Amino acid sequence: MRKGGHSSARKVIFFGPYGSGKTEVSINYALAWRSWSQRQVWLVDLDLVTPFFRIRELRRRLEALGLSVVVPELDAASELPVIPPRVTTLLLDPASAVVVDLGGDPTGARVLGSLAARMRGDTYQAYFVVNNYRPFTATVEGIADCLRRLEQVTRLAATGLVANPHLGPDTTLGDVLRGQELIQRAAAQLRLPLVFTCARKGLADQVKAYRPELEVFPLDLYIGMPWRR
Amino acid sequence: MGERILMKGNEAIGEAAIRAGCRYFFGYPITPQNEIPEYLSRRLPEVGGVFLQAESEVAAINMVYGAAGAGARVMTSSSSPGISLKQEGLSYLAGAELPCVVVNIIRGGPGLGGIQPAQSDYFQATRGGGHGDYRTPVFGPASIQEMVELVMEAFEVADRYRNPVMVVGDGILGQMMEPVVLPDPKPLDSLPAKPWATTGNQGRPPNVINSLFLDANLCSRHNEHLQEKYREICRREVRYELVDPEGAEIYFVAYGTTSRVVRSVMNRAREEGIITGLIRPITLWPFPQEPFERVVERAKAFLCVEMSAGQMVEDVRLAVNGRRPVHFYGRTGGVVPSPAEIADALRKVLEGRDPGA
Repeated sequence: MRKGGHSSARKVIFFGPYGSGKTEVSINYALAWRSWSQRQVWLVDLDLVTPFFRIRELRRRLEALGLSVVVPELDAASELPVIPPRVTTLLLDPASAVVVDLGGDPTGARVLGSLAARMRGDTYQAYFVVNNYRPFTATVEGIADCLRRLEQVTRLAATGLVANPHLGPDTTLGDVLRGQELIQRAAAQLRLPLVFTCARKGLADQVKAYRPELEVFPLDLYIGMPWRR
Repeated sequence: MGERILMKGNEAIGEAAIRAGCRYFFGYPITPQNEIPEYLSRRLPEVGGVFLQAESEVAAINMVYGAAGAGARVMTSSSSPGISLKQEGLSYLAGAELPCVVVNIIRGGPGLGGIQPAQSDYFQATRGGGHGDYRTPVFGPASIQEMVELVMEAFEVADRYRNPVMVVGDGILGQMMEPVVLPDPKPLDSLPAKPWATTGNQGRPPNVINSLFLDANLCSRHNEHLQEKYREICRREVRYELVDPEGAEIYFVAYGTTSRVVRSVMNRAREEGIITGLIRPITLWPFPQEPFERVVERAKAFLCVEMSAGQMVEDVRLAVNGRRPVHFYGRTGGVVPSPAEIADALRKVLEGRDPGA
């Protein structure tokens, strides 16, 4: 992430299809932002549809790392679509630095529709997270179609694409490079900037060595399987 | 074979069903399996199929009955409380010998319970669940790739025996993502013929789909026929994985998500010089007897681990039949046993103590 890259926009919203990696990207982005700015950064769990693998399960750990974490105020296992407190205030407050992890697909992203109408276009970045190894975003057309569906329900216009090409822990350099290329083409067709390309730490250096011109964002993975804990 | 893609278990179930030739899905939403209907509501119309959200689970399972009776490959899915609602229909499907696939992404119970992962519907799945003397083959995959393969196989087994087949998972398997290679779709014209189906009776006597036998002798004969079929399933359809390293004394028994946790415990134990084995039933019914016969002589004890208060362990005890101690460790209500907890249970078994105590 480029230092000061979002000095004008203090709200960064990550949205995208199910399983594109919004949660890991949001966490890493918020931590990086916090780390270079030394200011208070809010991380908002606005995923009201996924039952597991959410920010709320990591709340304490992320707070210990210095983030201000906002999650729905009910039991973490609740199925109720409860909007977390303070979300509107935070999103409309020009001074707060806020990262939003939005639920996946139109179903999960819809919640932002009611809030986005009140946000000024120049106050936020809405980054569309794409993993081309997921079923519905494997082609340029698929990516464009998913984006269109999501923009309709969120009433947000994407301001950039984030490439998160991976196949889980066994992702290779080749997987990342191939995916990056496809997502780059999608971005060009959509006339949107490709803001950065994610790769897990370790692999990120290899990507950078191979394609030094790329903006590579290294990810630490926070969501683990029960057998890796 | 295609390229690797990253899929959630629930999506993979949907895609595997389509590739197996399933064109009909009837269901009702419930967490944590909603991505199955969601995926199919998007994909089935693309392949000329029908997705229908019924007014209830009871309606959905009876729509499955109708579609299966008409000879279609058909699936429904739900999670524990919804599967309970489908039990009457399942008994009717078994009674009328109708093939279908029923997926249960199990959550913590009893009652409404919670939405977190569990394996506490083992009894319900393997003992029939509904009324009457019937059985359903039950597959318990442990990875997303295996989920794909077993869902496709479930349709084959269902058609082969004209019987409902269940596939069970939990919210972890349903929600987690793993890379999969999807097998090529089965050509629809290669699916088995169903001369018994109610497809319109021009040129032949009417076919009847029914489970009503008012005459006790006829009903008894029907039951004998069903039992012969179940015996054949027991002979031919048992699946399991046996991990049997040289020097193993304690054998874990676990399936699905729990077997994944157990494997990480086995790897860590090996680093400490403790060698263990694993019997992983892939069919929960018919339950695999064979791997127990293969290891029982050299086994010191068995340790069954489940996300339940102890259900499969009863089948393990039947299989071991008193020849060796059978221990149990389980977590309930949606808690996944941690590697540390299972390692602790293993330690107790090694010391000759009861890990459940």
